[in-house]
Amino acid sequence: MSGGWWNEAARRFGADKVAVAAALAVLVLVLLALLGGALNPNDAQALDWSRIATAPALAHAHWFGTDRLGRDLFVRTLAGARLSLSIGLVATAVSVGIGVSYGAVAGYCGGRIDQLMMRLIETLSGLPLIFFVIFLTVIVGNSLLLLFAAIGAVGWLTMARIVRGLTLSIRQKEYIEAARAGGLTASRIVLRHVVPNLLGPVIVYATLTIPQVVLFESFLSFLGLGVQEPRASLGTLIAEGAAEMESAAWMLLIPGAFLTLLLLSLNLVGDGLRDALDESAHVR
Amino acid sequence: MSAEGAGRALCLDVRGLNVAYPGVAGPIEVVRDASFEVVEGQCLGIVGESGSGKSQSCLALMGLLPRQARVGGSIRFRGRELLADGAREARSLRGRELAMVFQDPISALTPHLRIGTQLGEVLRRHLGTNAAEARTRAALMLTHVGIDHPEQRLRQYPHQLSGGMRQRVMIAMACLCGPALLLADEPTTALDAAVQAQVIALLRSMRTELGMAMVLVTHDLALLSGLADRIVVMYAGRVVESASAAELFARPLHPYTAGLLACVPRWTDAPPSRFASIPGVPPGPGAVGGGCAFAPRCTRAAARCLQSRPELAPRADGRCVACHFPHA
Amino acid sequence: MMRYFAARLAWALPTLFAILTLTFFLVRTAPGGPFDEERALPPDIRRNLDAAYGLDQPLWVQFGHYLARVAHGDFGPSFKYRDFSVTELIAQGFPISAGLGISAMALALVGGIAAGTFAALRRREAGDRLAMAAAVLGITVPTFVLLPFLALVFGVYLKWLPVAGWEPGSLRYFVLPVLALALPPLAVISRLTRASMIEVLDSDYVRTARAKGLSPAAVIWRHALPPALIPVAGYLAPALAAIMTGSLVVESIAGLPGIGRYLVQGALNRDYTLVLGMVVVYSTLLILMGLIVDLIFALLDPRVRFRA
Repeated sequence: MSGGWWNEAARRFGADKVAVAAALAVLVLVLLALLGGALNPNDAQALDWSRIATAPALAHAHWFGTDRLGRDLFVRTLAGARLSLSIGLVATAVSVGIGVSYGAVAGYCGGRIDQLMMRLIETLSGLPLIFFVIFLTVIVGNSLLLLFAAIGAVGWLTMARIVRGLTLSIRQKEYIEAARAGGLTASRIVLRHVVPNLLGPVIVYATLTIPQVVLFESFLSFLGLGVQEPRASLGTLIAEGAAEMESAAWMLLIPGAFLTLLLLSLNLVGDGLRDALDESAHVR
Repeated sequence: MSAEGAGRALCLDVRGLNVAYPGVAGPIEVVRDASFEVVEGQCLGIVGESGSGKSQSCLALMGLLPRQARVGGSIRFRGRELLADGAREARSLRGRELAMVFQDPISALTPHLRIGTQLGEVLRRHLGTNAAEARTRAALMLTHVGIDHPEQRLRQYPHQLSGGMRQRVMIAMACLCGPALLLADEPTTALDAAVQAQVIALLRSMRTELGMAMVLVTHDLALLSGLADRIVVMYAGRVVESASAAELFARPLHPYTAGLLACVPRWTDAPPSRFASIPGVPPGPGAVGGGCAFAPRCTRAAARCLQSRPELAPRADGRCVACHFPHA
Repeated sequence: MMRYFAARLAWALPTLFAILTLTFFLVRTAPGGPFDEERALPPDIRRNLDAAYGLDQPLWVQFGHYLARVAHGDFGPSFKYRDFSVTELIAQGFPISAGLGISAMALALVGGIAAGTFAALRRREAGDRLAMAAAVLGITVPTFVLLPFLALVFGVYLKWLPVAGWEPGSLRYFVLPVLALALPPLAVISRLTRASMIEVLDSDYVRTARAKGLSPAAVIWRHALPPALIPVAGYLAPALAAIMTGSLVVESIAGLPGIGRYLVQGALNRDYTLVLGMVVVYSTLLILMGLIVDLIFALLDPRVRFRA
């Protein structure tokens, strides 16, 4: 668990061309989403009645064109990406929090408690959870906060399973015994040995959760069950675009491509991280 | 001696066999210039440590090497060149005239198919036997290899059989079409000591009954005594000594063979204070330089051994050894 | 075998009951009722409406009635589509959704297994790399981007297929929705198949099968494919869930009158009984799929069959 291991993982990640390219793409997309408004004179909500549903062009400042209310699609796409990403981050944090604590408790307690807790996870993961989230969003209304929580609450199952398995195996490792025999306190054991061993897989899976959550949010928003007008998320923009595609294809293609690119690069970064950490773990 | 095989045709004639895999720094050679032959009806033992190339040679004979393997040299089986044959022709020989038994019977049988299916498909493939006939013959063969209640066994799945039983099934499967040559790659290594002796006895009786030739690959020289007619010793991908079993046991020429023989416990001796073993480990593939591969572990090695590699050459007394300073 | 199956079944029924309970009480404790939008409703009419739908009774009585009716396949009247019962609505839409789902599942299985096997046999060659790169893309592109995109290309520009809509008996309207629905699980299945097929092809028993002189086709079909499909069987239930989820957007985009649309409409309209009915139908299907998967496992691996 030395720094050498992390360096090794970093070296492997750096050698993976696809993963590095994907990481750069994520960086560019995130920067675009953050700076979006500042790059373009238009405002996300402002209506340009002189240019309704105009195609993308450099001549007028609407680089990605406008929608049928004359709102600038460049700014709206980036604002939507910003919203999708922040929902992704918050919901991932929620699911990591629940998943890690649930998995750690199950793995640490073991025995009957572990069996019961895992049975619950097995049952839950057999259910159409997306329908329950649809349910929740309808019951409590369309609050963004709820959307964060609901998505996070669904995404923790896999994380809990991974952490539980790791905790269980770490608990049986000899070095924990050795540390205990050597008189280390429980909190030091957890900090020095358990946390570093969990950290790699948790980071990897958290990275892979973000695109899932972004996809989920876009899905709900596409159906009209997520983010509501006048706010835009990539999902609502794609829904509008799909409705207008016969006359204004760019309204579908631009947010669709942006979302696909975002998901693709996030997934590839996650895969690259997993491979890098996995292989370094084998080398150890 | 050369007289023992006189007048009988060669079943298998391997000349200059090479097996190599592509590696980062050029090809990795796992079998180098290996030559040996098997007379019809006789048993050849190939002995060596893991990594000596003995299993790779065996798989090359069966055409079972992975696709990336590069095979060179000549393998003549009953006058037919196997390496030149098209894949289809080699396949029709495999399982019929040329059969193989593997090391680990636990993983060598397909888990989701009944024993009867796995035996029957050999007959149906090679002899066009119908299902009912194949079943009868499979049951007969199971009785032959010493399995009771064959009809019941045919309906069972591999996981319902013990390891020794599964190796018997493997042997039955290999012998179904009455092959001319049976290859056995460490057929007892994965089995309990008591079962090992039974399986060896079975191989011996099957060979006499069916009159087939056999190649028995093992790391255990003791296994070959009383079973093999000739023995080939391999080290680091090369044949280092080849002799009749009687000669080899009586008077090993290569220091490595002598070392292997010293590892075999003999009960006639006074109880040994320790089991003898050859110190050191064999070189990995590709790690062999210009000299003799065994030199670093050899007690008889001299400066010459590190510089020039001894060729496997027949001597005046008809024996073959690759060593600059063989035992007398 | 029977005991194994009975144990799985014994777990499935309480699960279904738990789902029913959870959803029922979640909906009923939530603020806002189905008639809230109709503000002009006079109090006495409102009372009559509530009484007609049983909303004036205590919650647990309503739940009891509901359970009794569900046990008879009656999901009650829809709150929004006043002239229809939920059962009628589901019965209308179900054949379309089932046709869509089964076609997509079949396409995903056949295409995914074929692509995965092909890639495993050509490991590290150009064909393998191409197939797996396509799979990464297939897993990533969301259904609700893919279907409009396909409709744009094949419907609007090439005019080969209808953009959206539905006609009874016409398969042309099904092509694009099935494609869009099948592609993500197809990509996952191809990756799963490739990974497990590579492992199986390296196994001792496939080597034995080849040593027997069997044809490559016999080796792959009889000896390699069944064990290689075990991970794919494990993915069947998630695949069904993915297809169900996808059908929500696909039916909305393509304008197919299946049950997926009812769930979305029911959710937007707060149509309690409709949404509840839908969740019960979807959950039952998934639980059934779980049982089918258990059977498939037993079929692919005799060791499961003989485990008491």
